[in-house]
Amino acid sequence: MKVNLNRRRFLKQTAGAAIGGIALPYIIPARVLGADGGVAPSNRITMAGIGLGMQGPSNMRQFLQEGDCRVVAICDIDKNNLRDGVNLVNSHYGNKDCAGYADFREVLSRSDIDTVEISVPDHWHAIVAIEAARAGKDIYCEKPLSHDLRQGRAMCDAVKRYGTAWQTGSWQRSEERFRYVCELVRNGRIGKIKHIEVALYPGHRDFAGTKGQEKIGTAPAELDYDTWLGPAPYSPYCPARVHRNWRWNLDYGGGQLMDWVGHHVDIAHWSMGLDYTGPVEVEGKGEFPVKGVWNSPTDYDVNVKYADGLTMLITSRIKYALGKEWTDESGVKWYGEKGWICVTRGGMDSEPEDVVREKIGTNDIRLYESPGHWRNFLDCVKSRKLTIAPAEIAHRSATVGHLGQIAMLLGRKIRFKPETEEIIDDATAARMLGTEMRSPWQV
Amino acid sequence: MNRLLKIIAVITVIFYGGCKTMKEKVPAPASAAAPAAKDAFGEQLSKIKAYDFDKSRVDLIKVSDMIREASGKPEMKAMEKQLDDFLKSDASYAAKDFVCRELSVAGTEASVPALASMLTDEKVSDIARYALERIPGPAVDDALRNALRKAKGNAKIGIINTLGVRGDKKAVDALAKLTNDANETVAVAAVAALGRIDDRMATIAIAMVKDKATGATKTAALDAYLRCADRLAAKGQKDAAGAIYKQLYAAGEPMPIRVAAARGMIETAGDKTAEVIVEMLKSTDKPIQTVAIATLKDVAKTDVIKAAAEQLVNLEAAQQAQLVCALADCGDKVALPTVLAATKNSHDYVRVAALRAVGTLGDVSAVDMLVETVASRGGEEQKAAQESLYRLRGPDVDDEILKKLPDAEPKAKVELVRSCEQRNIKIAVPVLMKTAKDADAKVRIESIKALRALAGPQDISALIELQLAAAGNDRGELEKTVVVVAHKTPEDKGQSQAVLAALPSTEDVEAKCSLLSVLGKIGDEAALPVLRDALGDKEDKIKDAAVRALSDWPTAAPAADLLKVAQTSENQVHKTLALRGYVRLAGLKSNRPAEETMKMYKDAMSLAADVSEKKMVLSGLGSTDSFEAMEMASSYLDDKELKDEAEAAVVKIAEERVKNSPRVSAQTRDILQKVIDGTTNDSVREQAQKLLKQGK
Repeated sequence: MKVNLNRRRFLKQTAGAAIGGIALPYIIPARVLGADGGVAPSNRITMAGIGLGMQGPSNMRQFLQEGDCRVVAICDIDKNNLRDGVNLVNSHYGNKDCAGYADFREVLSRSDIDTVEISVPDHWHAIVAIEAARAGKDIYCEKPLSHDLRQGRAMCDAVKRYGTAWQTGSWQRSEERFRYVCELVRNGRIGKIKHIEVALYPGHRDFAGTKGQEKIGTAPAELDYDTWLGPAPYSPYCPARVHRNWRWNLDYGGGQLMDWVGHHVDIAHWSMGLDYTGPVEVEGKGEFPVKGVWNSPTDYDVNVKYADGLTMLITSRIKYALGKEWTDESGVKWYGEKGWICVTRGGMDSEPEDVVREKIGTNDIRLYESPGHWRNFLDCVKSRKLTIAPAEIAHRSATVGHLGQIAMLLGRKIRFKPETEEIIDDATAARMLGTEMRSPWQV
Repeated sequence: MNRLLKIIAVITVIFYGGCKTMKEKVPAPASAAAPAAKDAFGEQLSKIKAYDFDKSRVDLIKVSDMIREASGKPEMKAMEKQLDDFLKSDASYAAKDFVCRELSVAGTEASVPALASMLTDEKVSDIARYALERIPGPAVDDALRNALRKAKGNAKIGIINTLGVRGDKKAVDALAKLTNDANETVAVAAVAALGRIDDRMATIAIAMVKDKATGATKTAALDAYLRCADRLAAKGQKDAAGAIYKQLYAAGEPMPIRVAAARGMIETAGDKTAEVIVEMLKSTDKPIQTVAIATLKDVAKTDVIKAAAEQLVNLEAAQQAQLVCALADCGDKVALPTVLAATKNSHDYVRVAALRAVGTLGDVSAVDMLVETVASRGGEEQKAAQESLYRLRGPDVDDEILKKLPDAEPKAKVELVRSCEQRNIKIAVPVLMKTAKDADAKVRIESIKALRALAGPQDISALIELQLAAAGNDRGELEKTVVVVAHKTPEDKGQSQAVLAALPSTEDVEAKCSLLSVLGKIGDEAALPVLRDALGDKEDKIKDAAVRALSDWPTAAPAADLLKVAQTSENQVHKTLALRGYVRLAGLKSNRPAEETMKMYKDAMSLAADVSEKKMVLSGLGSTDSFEAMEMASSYLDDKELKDEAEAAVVKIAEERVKNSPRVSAQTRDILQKVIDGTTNDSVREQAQKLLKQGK
């Protein structure tokens, strides 16, 4: 469709009046827990940050802003990350109280710690998270939820078993624009949805500047490399394998696909009420590098089908999927009987154009409204309400990515039963739902 | 995508050993002829014997392709044998790691002897388990059990873990013995493995360990016992599960275990659920009260919700707030009386929680209370009541709000008007048209704002009437409302039609100006001739309004008109306004050629009468993505009065150009260097240096 640049306004602001701001509740405001607007120490939520290499510092900064949260410990197996993390916390509080740990199990054994924030590489998520749940900690954990489907299921079971308050780092759910667009879709503003296109990033982004540094070497003294590998298969150290770029190797992460399904497939699921189910068919094609340590797909098309006939294309071809002339941002585009809606972090658009200006009425379906992703977690730690991005929901969006990887690897369509989380009539594919862990690790 | 066929070996993700009864499905062969001859395969295998992790994977991929092409065909049997032999060879660790990953997908029980021989060797035990954990069949379990007797250290622990993952019932005895192992890590692994095996004897073994073990083994046993109970509950054996939960709920067990057991007890209590929840709400342990509250939504039975609600008054304030919140989540109106009572609680955060819960559970009967609370309270309570008023469901709620609105006191009236907007009550428009003329200023303004959201094209004439009759702030707000509502008309249906129709009969100059202002913001082309005519009006105020309206225009269509005013008007104010408008229009996104845009800026610069106007032109120029724009900006780098704006414009243009294409021309480099050499602004210098560094 031709877009008239003079007239069409890709809405970059939050939807404001159209959305109608109703912040759903936290129930025990921080201010009432202590005198004079402060928060009494006894009522603070204590937190430890585990994994400070990439998203950890960003999450820590968010929690440090919350008056009813007190970060008391930092854990990392890299001494430099640990030092920087501890300094981050101490400089915020203006003291030297934050304790540093190399072993997450020591952190979990502290009975004075209520919550943990987990930003370790994906292949470590399940072990740390399940141990934390067993220790009675509430958990904020980065996306994607898990490194494989079976680990994700084990995490969800543990979280349910121990009544853990869990927030996944799928923070787009707490953004007004994404919720608003999901509400438009849910309320049929573009009619019945037939197809969704989820556009994710292609390639490998060199976050650490270690691209090509693949010569086998000795890990630097500050890094406990064997623990960094943990449950992953043994491979000798090289800089390109570890910090900030681990995601591009399938032993530790799932490339761009798995990095982003926890955001945009998550939004697609939310909009369609698919939070607690999954696809019935998945097939895909991927461009896997044949050279180098980074072996995750750089370009991919994953076609997904749900039980009601809804189809979804997850693709690294952003412009093809979103059809926008003025941005390369990842995002989601819904195609309905009456038009389309597109959303990215930068804005939203629709056809008819005014759909993204429509108001969500009182008798319309309203979705969970979060006052802020990190705030929502703390509120739910207190209220015991389900957070806006609980483990089970995150598991379902990650599942789409896991199945996509398997389908790409095998080069054939796989059929899936979301109720039992089994691959049907394909025992080879079924083998790939789980990952063996290097000894002594297990979940 | 054609490299897709090469990926199996490249990636070799690790596998899970389930689905033993499934028939193996093989991928379709890439071509009719499958040339995976034994010798060719052997030759290819020999090429990877010395493979290491930092070497090219090209030969690995060829091996993978051959396996893939042979998969499911008779020749695969011989190839599997070659892979097994490879594992026994002196090939490198990395090469064997690769082969084990291949066998995890393609391997069968035939590979068990080769893989099993690696299990007791700590150096290669893990990679053998990659394959064995996924290969179905009893031969694998037998091999793992046999190896368990001989293995040591991490190899032994790995085998225990794999037996657990595979759920091998025949391993229960051996694992039970290992729960007493002197090595605590072995004992913990054995207990955890038992917890994964769906077997009565495994459950009994765990129960025994739980009672006598200490430390990490005890912790693992408690977790494993919970797993057993969860599995029994999932299979419908609720009594057996309930008995385990009850044991683990006992005082003295660690609180996380008691909390988990409490949840299990509730979920398996059947018709005694209410009784169990009430008992837990009476507990002196807050975590137990809390888990009972958190589980309420999962139970979702009216009698249970009612029983729990009745306990609210006996809880401490924090748990009262949690329970109110949980009652709202349950969505059962049986809890409404409790929630309404809690809106009068002595703790403000309980009241806040209750007011919010009313939004979910309440009905039309809550409208009065909520309106009164909004009008009379402040802070969180006011906000909570307001939000609930907006969320109360049911068409009768809208009717009640509309009924109360005309006669409400001003404070309440303001809230009721806001509710109309927030609740999207479109039938409120006639009422709001009246309250837009209310004696109270706040009521009027809120009504005008609500109309902006609720009124449609059919209401535009009535809104224009209001606009023309209003004064001051009211008129300004009404102008915004008319513009928004006019934009709701499809573009091809004359968005400015009603305003144009009102114009001839409007004699009051201020009112006329107000209409011209609205026309500029609507930006409908049908209004352009009218605005152009107004430029020649005898009234200065009308001319002034027309220049401003054209300056607000959403496209560059009236650029020539503004240029003419800027060039020819005798009124200095109009000249200035027109020039500003012209520069604004030059900066709007457009499909016109870059040279036309450049001409616009050059014209504007030639008309700029003073430094401030020249700065304005340079500022606009900074948004133009062309080398000519940069060149023009750079021509002012030596002008002391315009230097700062010129530098900023150059850097801004260069940034945009580098973003789109990292190639930086020699001329651009020269200009950036001139900025670096001449600027006194550190930030500008750094930006320019960064751009030079980024560009190629």
